[in-house]
Amino acid sequence: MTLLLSLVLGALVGLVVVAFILLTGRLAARLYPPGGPGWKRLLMPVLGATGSGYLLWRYFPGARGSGIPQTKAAIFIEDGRIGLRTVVGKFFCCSTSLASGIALGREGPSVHIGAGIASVVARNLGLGPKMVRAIVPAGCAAALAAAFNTPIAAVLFSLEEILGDLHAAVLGSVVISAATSWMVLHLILGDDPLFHVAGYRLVHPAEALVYAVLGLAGGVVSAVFVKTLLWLRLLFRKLPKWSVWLQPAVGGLTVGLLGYFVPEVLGVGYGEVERVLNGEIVLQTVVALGLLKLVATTVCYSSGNAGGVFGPSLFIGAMTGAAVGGVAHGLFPAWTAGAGAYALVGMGAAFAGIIRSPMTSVIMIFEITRDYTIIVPLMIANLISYFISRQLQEQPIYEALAAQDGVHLPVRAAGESREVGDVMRPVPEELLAGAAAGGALRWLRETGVDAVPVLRGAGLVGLLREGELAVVAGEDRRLEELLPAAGGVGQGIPHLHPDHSLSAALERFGTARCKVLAVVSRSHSGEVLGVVLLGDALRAYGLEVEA
Amino acid sequence: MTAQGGRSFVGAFGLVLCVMAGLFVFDVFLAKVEREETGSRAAQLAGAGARLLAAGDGPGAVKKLEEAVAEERTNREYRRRLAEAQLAAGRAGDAAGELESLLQGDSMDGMANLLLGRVLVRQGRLEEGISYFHRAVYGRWGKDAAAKRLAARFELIELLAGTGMKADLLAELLAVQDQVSSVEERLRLGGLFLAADAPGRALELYRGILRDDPENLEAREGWGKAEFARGNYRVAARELRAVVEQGRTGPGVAQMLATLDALFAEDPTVRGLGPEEKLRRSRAVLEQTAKAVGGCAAEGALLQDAAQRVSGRVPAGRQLAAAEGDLDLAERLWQTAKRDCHPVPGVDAPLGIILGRLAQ
Repeated sequence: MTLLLSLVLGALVGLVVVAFILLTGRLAARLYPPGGPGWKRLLMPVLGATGSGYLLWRYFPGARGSGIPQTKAAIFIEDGRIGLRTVVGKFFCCSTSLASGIALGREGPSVHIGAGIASVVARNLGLGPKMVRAIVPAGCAAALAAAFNTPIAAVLFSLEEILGDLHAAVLGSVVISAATSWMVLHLILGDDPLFHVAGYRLVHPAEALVYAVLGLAGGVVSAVFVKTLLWLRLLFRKLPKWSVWLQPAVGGLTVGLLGYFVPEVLGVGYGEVERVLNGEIVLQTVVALGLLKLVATTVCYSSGNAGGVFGPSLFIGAMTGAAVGGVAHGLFPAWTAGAGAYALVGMGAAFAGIIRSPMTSVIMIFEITRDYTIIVPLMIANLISYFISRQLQEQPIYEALAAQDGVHLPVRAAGESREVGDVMRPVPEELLAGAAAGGALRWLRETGVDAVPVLRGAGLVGLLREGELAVVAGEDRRLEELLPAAGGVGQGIPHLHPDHSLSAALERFGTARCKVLAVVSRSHSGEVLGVVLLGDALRAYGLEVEA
Repeated sequence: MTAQGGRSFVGAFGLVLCVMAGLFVFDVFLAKVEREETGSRAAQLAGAGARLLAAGDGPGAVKKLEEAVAEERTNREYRRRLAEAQLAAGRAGDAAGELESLLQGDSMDGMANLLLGRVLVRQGRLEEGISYFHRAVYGRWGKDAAAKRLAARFELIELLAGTGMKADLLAELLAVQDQVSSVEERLRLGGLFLAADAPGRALELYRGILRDDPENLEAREGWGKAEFARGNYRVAARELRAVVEQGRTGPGVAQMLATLDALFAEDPTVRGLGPEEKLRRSRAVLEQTAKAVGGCAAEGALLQDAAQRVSGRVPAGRQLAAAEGDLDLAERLWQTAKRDCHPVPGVDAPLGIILGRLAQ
């Protein structure tokens, strides 16, 4: 049932997103045609932003912005509920604003539309909240697969960014819907990658250093972009409430003024990205375009226009990469590739730094360009950019945007960095099988636990509860005498491994119904490395427990 | 699921399918509009690029064609034209990159192979260029494929003729000789056979043309040149003079006739010469040969011998024997010079022919 629904949703979302892309493209070609008069470039973004701003304020308040924080909020907070009104509003408001030249991307809105369609269809088919929540990521993946022509990255993005879990149970439906949507895209628009790029490769091993520098630059630029956007958004939020419908016009006016003099700033700018990827734009222009786009996008987004930051982040990354590459190639022409190769890697670095999905960004760049040869430099730059950006701006952009709206999205993998090994104690002598039961009971009471794991040599042979020890408290008995029979790890004695996360450990404490567990080696099953106390695990989370 | 729930499920599912059908029609319509609009704009840009290229504005043509290609990436014709424009603008490296990218998509693209061949030849990479010419000859050409293949082969042939690769040239000519039918093509082929040092095949072609059209002066001129190359100097002179008398002055004919006149006047090997005349001509040949190889130190003794013979008097009864001796010495001088001297001394055409005959 879920898989069939994923198939249908993939096709439906694919058709809607293709319509969205084509409609936006055709409208843009009419509103500000290439080589058209300058007044159109100035006026159209203002009109488009004002018109869509009014519609968003009056009829479609849920369709404002990128759509990805809203999608995450819908999944984690509202049982996957996204209204049809939001979907319709997102489709038409985004088409209008993007077609008028607003410097935002179509991918985020596509994800919101896809998620919304999945939610509307699933609810109208009578599915329960749990099923609706499970099917919404499939809509996201289908939308991104069609919007970016990147089915694998779409799957990864849905899992890594939307759900925050690469091992999510919805993997099957996400894959099916992304694949179906991608096939619909190819059926209608043909097999054409988003960007056509000449084959690039690492010219010299030392060039990896330049890519590392690019990763550094990408991280800094990403942090500047995110901080500027968040700061501007806060400023706009402080303006009077009545001006909300008019605020997008500020974005329209900014991009219109910039576009009057520099037409390349208008729209998402994939044409310029392709040109820079092929080394067709000179260094000074590349730097200017990158800066202007950063200004245009941050103002457009923060003023409340409908559109995403996916596309602009690729644009800014490509320009950053081309700037770094242009300088490097000028200094070391024999050791470095042309600026186009760096623009390609820069796209991934900025995406990893801004969106904070490093895996998705590597696969996405590979899929967008269908160029495998640059993958190693891409990984180097991506990871450096990711870490630098995280150092400079701790909160990822979508979580920060949602937080500004008063929504606190779940933080990806919170607490999972703490492992059992971090709080493990060495095995005390009192727990050895030959030790006196009285000594084990004393240890149990001192530590405040309710059982003791019993070891013979380094092997775990049993678990004795406090009651079993208390019965023989006055007698001179050894622990092994109290064990029912020779036991071992394989015979169901609850235990942990050192790489278990603390959250998994807490779950195990609950199921075992005891406050202490032995920590057993994975490679030498039966070898006990230490013990973990429930109190120690809780203290790692900042909780003090009474003994 | 209740009956009512089931009905609403089916209804909702049916509605979804109807929406999908409607969306599919809408998408296909929009995609068609997009293709037509981008195609039309790309065609305009490509047309402007072609006009600029024809007017000699290579950089302007490149700009327009780049825009055309950006509009319609899948159009291989625009990309080929862009490469042509890049080559014309002196951007051979960019042209090569564009063509290599095209050939990655279809390695059998005849026109792309031909253009890349031209680019590589322009870059001085002759052997690689020739290999792309071959791929063009055997590549895919679409409409009028046979004529285009033939044109590509003729371009290769002209290239080989221009670079003096005679063995390769002859191989190409032999492959193409059965494919030509028009008189113009056969005449062109005859000239190329002459360039490939295959006058016998050239002669066959010219004779064939003259059988059909005895008044064809170009063929007659070619016949004369072929006979000259074969060493039939009398016939060559006869045909070339006939051509000149009828008002045709083809390239090199006048020089060839002058050579022939000089040869007939100086050749000591011609039969029927009197002893005195034979000796005079032999002395002249020896003197000219000694002069030609004079800068080469290896022939010191022979040169001394030649100088003595040239200045010496010969009694009337021994003129024929002296003439033979002069010619023998001239030939030895020449052979020694060819073996030991670097570079080999040059001689003018009549003397070269005479020395060649002596060596036979």
